[in-house]
Amino acid sequence: MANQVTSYLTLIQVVKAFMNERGEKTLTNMEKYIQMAIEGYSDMQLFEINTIDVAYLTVNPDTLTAELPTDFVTMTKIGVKVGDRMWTLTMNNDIIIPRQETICPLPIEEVNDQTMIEGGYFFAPHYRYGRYTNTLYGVGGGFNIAYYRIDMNRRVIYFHGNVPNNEVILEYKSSGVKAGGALVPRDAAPALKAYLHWKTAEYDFRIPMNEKMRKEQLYDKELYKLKTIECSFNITEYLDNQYATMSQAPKR
Amino acid sequence: MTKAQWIELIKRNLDGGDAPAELRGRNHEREIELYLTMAFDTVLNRKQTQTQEMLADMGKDSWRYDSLTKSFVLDILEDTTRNRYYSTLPVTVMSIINNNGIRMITPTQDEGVAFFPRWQTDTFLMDGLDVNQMVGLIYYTLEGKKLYYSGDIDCHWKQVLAKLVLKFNEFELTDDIVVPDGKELEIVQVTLGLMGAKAPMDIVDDGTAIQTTK
Repeated sequence: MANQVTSYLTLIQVVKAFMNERGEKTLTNMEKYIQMAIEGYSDMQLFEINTIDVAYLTVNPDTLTAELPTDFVTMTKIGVKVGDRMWTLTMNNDIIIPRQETICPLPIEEVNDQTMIEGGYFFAPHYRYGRYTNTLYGVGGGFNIAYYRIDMNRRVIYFHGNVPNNEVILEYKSSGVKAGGALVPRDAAPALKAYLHWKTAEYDFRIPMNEKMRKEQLYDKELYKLKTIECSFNITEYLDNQYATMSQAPKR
Repeated sequence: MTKAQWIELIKRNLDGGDAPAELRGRNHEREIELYLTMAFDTVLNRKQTQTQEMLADMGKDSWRYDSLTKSFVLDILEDTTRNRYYSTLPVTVMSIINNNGIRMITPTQDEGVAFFPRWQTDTFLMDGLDVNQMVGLIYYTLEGKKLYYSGDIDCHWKQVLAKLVLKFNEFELTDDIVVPDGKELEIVQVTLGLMGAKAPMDIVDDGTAIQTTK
């Protein structure tokens, strides 16, 4: 409804609210506070808030590489689109990461010439005698249509195998901050403000130690509240979980 | 009290007060204006305690400068040598902690969008940090009487609105100058003291009623 406040705040709104709480009336420190808010929010994104971002990455067909998003911290899934579902790819740390200093872009042959030793073969999903067969046949796990390896230093993903349409779906934990800023969930805003109060006190030599400790405790308290919300589940989720293991048998 | 009245007040005080005989009637109005300028700067920016300094650092005492603030529309010009955009301040700004003499720089018609102040070394220190990669934030750095802007300010604006705290000598004679916080007595005392009429009083705001000479 139009007369309700939004459930998200921008990073700058949180910093403004924090400055209001402090009674600060100058913009001199605003840039410093925004930077601290970014660091605090990134920290919360990683450890406290259950959110993931999704990026559709284009794979360079020559080098079989895709660039990681700038806000990428760690990934939860890499896959390709099959129908309306995601087919996850398999990590393979045997893919060689190219390191040639003078060649740019990365040399094609270093990626494509790798020979993957795989002890199995792959069936495309199909029907057999009226039964849907959608996976590998007769082999153990670890085989896939394509494999990946992440090179964090150059922020690139290397692929080997068949990547349909040269597009992969990346689900990842984000730093939470993009070029346009960040949207902070309203339930996380008190914790972020408490973080700013703590950090500004922490590095001010004029503030006594007990005050710094108190602000850290207040931050911990707000984090606990945030975790309580983030980790709770509703009645529907609970019932789904309960019923998932139940089955009914015919009466004899 | 207008600026002219301030000057007249000090002049009369010197002429008829306890100023040394050789000074009486010999103070030019321009001279009084400059001493008043020093007195304003001294009294309004005096920090006696660490608490006062912290409050000033956070701008909590900045309300006292609002009555000494005027708005100006500044053109944005290009410095081709440095490949930067800048504006020239039309007046000398009162030197206040954290360069708070420049109260606000905003677009001319949207004061909800503020540009952020930077000290000169901040440009280097902040470069490459996450905050510097956020789009839409514009910074300004004071260099003498010039404000240098960061980023693509020219794409959006050709002029800015500047709210500046003026030094006393920058006001017109007819401008009303409101001194905040009951500081009139201190300003008169400091002005007279600077002009040699009387030693400056001990005007430490320490909660005692005892006024002693330094």
